[in-house]
Amino acid sequence: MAHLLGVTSLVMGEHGVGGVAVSEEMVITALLHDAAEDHGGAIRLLDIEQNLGAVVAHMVEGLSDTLAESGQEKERWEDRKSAYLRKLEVESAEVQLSSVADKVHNARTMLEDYRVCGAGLWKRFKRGRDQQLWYMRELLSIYRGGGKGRLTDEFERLIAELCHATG
Amino acid sequence: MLEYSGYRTHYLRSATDAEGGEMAGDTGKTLHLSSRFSAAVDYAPILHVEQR
Repeated sequence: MAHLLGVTSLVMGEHGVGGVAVSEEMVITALLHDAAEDHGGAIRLLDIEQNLGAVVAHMVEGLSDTLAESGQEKERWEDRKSAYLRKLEVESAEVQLSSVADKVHNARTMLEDYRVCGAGLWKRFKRGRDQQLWYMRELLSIYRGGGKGRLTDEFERLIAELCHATG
Repeated sequence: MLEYSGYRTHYLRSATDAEGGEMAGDTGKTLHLSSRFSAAVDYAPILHVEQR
């Protein structure tokens, strides 16, 4: 829950700052960005559409790397992440802003956790340091393609710090 | 973090009870939030509980 609120806070903090106008739908999407991916897939997405509207549901879908339903096995990590990178590349600036907020919060948490548990950090993930850093750099390249932004700059700094600290 | 959540939820609900929520950020520009955001705040913890 702390992650959801953290990402929401980052998106709200971009209001009036960058080139993307932050809307209520974006704030709601930030709060629910993992809902379909982690809690029910396509069925959850339909529930979100019914409860919070089609715009939010569409953006949540844009932030989901799988729509596998609960109990269903997710696609292989490499396939899922590669497909998501291709999908994100053509998503709207609004979705990309929520995405970079998500990744900034993740990277900050990873750095904090690394300071506490060292290399044991990577055991919490399905893939290790090199693959995680590969994925982050690929994401960064897509965010950079969408133009400049405070969160993108912050994400780049965090990747460099994570790379240096854990190398 | 939970304390922050409780505060923010309370703040927004108070605001939406009046004439639609709003929150002034550091930029001085106002982001308007309606009862839809409160509904989403209620929706998100349900997912969290389901996960646990």
